[in-house]
Amino acid sequence: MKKTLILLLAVFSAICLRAQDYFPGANPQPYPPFADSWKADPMMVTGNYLMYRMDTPAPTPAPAGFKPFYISTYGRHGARFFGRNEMYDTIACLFDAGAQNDALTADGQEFYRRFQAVYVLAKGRGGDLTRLGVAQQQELARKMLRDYPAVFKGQRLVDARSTTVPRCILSMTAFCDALGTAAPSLEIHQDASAADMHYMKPNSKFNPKVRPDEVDSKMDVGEGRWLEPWQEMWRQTAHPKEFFARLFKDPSFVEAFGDPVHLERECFYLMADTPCVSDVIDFREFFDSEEAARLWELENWRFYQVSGPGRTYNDRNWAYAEVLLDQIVRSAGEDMAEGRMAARLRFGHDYMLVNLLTLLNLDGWNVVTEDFGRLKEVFRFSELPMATNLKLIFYRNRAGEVLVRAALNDREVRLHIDGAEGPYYRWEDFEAFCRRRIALARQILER
Amino acid sequence: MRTALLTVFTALCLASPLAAQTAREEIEADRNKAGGIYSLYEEPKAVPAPAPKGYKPFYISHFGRHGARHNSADPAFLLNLLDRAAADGKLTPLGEDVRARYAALYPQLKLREGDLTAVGTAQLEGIARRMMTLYPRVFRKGRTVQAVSSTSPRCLLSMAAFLQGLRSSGWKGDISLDTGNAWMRTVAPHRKANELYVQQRGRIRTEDRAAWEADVQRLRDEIDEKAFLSRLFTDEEWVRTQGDPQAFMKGFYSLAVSTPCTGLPEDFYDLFTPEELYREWAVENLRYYGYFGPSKYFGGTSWAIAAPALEKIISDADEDLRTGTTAARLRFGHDVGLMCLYSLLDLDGWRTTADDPHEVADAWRCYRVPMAANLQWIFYRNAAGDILVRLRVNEEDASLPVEPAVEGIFYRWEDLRAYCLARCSEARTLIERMPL
Repeated sequence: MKKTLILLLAVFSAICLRAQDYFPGANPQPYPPFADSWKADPMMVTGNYLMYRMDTPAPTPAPAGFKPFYISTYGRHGARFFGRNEMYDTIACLFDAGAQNDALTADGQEFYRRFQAVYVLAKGRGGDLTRLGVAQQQELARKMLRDYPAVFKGQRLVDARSTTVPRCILSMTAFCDALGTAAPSLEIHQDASAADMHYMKPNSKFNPKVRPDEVDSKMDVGEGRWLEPWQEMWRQTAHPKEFFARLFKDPSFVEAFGDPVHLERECFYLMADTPCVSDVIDFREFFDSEEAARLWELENWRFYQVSGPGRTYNDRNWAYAEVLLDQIVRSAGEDMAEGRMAARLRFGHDYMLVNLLTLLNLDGWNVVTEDFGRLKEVFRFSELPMATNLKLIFYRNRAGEVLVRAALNDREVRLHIDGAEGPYYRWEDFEAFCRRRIALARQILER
Repeated sequence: MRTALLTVFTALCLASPLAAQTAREEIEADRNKAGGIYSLYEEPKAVPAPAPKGYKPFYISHFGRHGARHNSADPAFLLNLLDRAAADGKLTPLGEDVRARYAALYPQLKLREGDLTAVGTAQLEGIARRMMTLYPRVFRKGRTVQAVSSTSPRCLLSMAAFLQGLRSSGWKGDISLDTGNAWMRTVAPHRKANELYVQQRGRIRTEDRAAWEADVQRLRDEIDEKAFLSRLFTDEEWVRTQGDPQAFMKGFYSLAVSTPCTGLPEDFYDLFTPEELYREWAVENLRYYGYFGPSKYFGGTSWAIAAPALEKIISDADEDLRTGTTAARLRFGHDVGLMCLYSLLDLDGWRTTADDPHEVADAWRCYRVPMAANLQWIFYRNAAGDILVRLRVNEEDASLPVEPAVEGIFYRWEDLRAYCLARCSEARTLIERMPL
């Protein structure tokens, strides 16, 4: 028995060690201390529902003689309503009853008043792109044009692809419409097809490498292996009695409407998503800051497990992104050879983007830890706002030398490429680096 | 003189006999029509009648079907059949040839079921551009466009193509874009988001459904699928061991009529005789007629499900006429929505019925809803503020049984509005009165 345990432990630590090795040079402190960030940024609590920040720092100037000529992106749809209608309907049911039974406190009445204003807009719209989401994509298109005017000059092509999810297609259309309006000489092609899903959503059924127990929702939403431990963590961490005591005269009132932990979580989601729906309604004040930070950590953990280097999927989750990275690198090579393509735009989801960031060994997405307390210092899902995107910007000089720069949410990021300073990398080095990462990922998937 | 005579002669040839053409004659004259709902959009030929004096267009309400799309059937179905036949040595020389042609095409069809094609994109761009050319005043500076789409990717991409058409015509105004289940009730009335559809389908009696299915099957049984398949396969017995021969023939028909939608340089019409094509079309036509046309099959209520769609067109117009800031409302949906709307509106012959399944083809023709089919309501106003509306089906003028305010196809908005609401209320009553 003891021997087995030791053996198991040895195997386990070997796996962990190997996992760490997948991310050479990873910065163990990619962010300022969590407590400071939390205090400095009151919107951080909204997690991956954060609204995109358009005020971005200017990039490091390109080396003399280099001009941008091509951009390749993978981005998430814009701001959307919360994914499940039941969230809105459950809260409606609970607070309708609370109001009818005179069970609400003054705070509860205020919560209800604000909720009703959201519900008018959100009822039956679970998962849909919001008006603000459309505006976000339009603004991002104009911003890209402002930031890289040289890329879009003349009669060049733009190839945009989306997953087949309506909010992604609509994001693409909003983006491309704004781009085309501002730069009418561009020829823009948009497509959304099952034929592209194998790389647009690498853990979809269209990727022949995906294991049946990891396809779509079996990994990313709803029924993954992270579900049970996460539910248990919520039970142990949340304080629904205290939360509902502010809103209901008697917090036990809510028990008739479901598990109080689940109901508090729904309220947390409502708080997080509301900035996507309205720029004036806000539920943050109904959450105690420490409770909100605890709940944020639980959601952050879920994200880390589903799409980052968390141990739940033993690296298989982010390794799936190899097919996406391969498509990015291959199409970049072809587009540069052909010459007319200004940009390749891909509209997908945050999970797949994190998979890609981890595969690329980007700091902030590559620290392996099983220490729950430490996780918030090394991985933050609030770095994935609505419309979050990775841009690879290609520069060229007269001699035909090509440099690549990467930006996450229009903020420069550095890659761990041996012998290169960054943030401008020689295309040959970048390509070779990507090929190594792809080979590693394939090894992991074949393991 | 000779030219003038020739013109008159051509006009006579084109106009009068065509009006009375049977479906069979129409299809024989134009193979594209055999495609039914796969038919390619025909650009309008007629120059639109001028508006009555003093009236200027100011608002457009548009309901359109997605553009040309790939076959919705799994392309592997036929490929597998042809491959198995080749392996078993059961293909005729024509069968071998079809297999080679289809295998060459297959990579461009794979995983593309139902997707919008480049042909479809061009169709939508063209419709938008012609709209801009005909009605530039509507899109004047400061006015916005509100576009919504069914959640189906091909509809969303059709919306995108339409926008590109507007933009390439120089329009730079603001646009509001939306999609989602919440819109399906009015852009795709044949989906369960439409409570009227759910109510109607819930009340369809088993025997009514069986009667319709039996009629469709009877028409299908009149097609000699053995003769057709014998041209491709050497062994009738073998084909039967592979599956339903009727389904195979239907599969080849779908392939033949959907291939032009792809824009790929291939054509499978040579597999069919004109008679076979006509009959295949007639079966499909009866199917649509029964389920979404003015048929008597389901208590004559099939088309009534479009009431929420029409009510939305009216309420949107009410709002837009009040605010004055919207140039156009664009809706991107499906064939069924249009078919039902046409019958609901009682547009030019869309209410014509036939009791005999064989006569349905001449009463109601689904190829009038080709890919990219659309219904446009063009609103005109004069200095006194009087509003007239003209309806256009596939960009050609259409008429309704409403007393026109002036000569021709221009209706006073109040009259048309009242007419539409009365039709909707009639439709709702019809469904409510269906026996439970």
